[in-house]
Amino acid sequence: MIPQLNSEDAAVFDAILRDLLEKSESSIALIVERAGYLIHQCGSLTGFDPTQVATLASNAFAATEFMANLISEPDFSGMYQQGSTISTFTLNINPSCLLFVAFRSELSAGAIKFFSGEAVRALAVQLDLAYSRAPEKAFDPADINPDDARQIFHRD
Amino acid sequence: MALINHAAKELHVKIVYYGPAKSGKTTNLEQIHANLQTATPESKGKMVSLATSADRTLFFDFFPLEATVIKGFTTKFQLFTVPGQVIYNTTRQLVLRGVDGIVFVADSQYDKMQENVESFQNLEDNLRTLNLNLADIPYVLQYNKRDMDCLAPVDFLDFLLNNKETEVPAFEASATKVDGVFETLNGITRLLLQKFIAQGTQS
Repeated sequence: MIPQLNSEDAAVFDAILRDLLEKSESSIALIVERAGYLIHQCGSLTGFDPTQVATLASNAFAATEFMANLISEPDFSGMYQQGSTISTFTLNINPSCLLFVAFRSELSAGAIKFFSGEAVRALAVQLDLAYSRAPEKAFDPADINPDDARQIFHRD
Repeated sequence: MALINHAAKELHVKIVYYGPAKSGKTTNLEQIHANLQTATPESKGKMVSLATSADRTLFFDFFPLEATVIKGFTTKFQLFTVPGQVIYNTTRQLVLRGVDGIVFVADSQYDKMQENVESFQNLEDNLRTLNLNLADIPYVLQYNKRDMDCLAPVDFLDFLLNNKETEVPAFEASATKVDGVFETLNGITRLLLQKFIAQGTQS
């Protein structure tokens, strides 16, 4: 079964992330699937490609989590990258998803972490609902023709 | 694992190019990125390469790609490579997390057969550490470097790498000349669609 998100999930994600950005004054927040997919985003930042950042953040998190396991750290839940202008937090929501937050470095990292923690808990509840949902079917098979894939990608 | 976002009408799919060192995984991605015909420039994202100073893949190469594969949905493909060098096994395990489809890029040169077999076994081992089974994941083989000298015949490569209960599609390629590169990508996409159909009708 393929996990599925619907418009209700999107509305809840949006409300949680907007609340986080407002309270914490962060610039942008992303919900990222651990495989590297960008699930949802709120806010903006100049020169920021959310798709690329989502992929890099998920893999960086996975690498650091692995390192934490190697040094027998049982409770790895987040990663803080301190920059001179922009800093970031990547936090574990659940086994499938992460929250990525970018904020101006002059803001208090402690406050961002506190508000992000609230958001993580709320997101975990909605993601659990979404991942346990069992819709009738993922796609209408009539809309899929594997033979079409012979020519989906063409050389210029 | 693939994910369907009905709100955004998107399907997310992760494809990993796997294989021994210097078999042409990064070249495949570079050639797709450079030569892909797209309806809009936004359909093709930037390519990210986390490489060593000697231009060898250190963590992964990646680029996002959009296409309409299923009516009403934008399919967002994430194409990844793994580092082929033996010492980077942990990194390969990390990149394989959440994989939906695999392209195994083999080097067709005779003296690379052992490396091909070891890398294929390594793929199966790494999937097992993630509680995955290669038989459950759509994958295709690409016999690359068919433009080189001292080539192993395709039958021999099939004997070494494609001798499972279910034979998988195998594509001859010369990635540096873009030969077989798009056929391979379309091949793995087709298998993924077949899997989605099966899941859609089972649930």
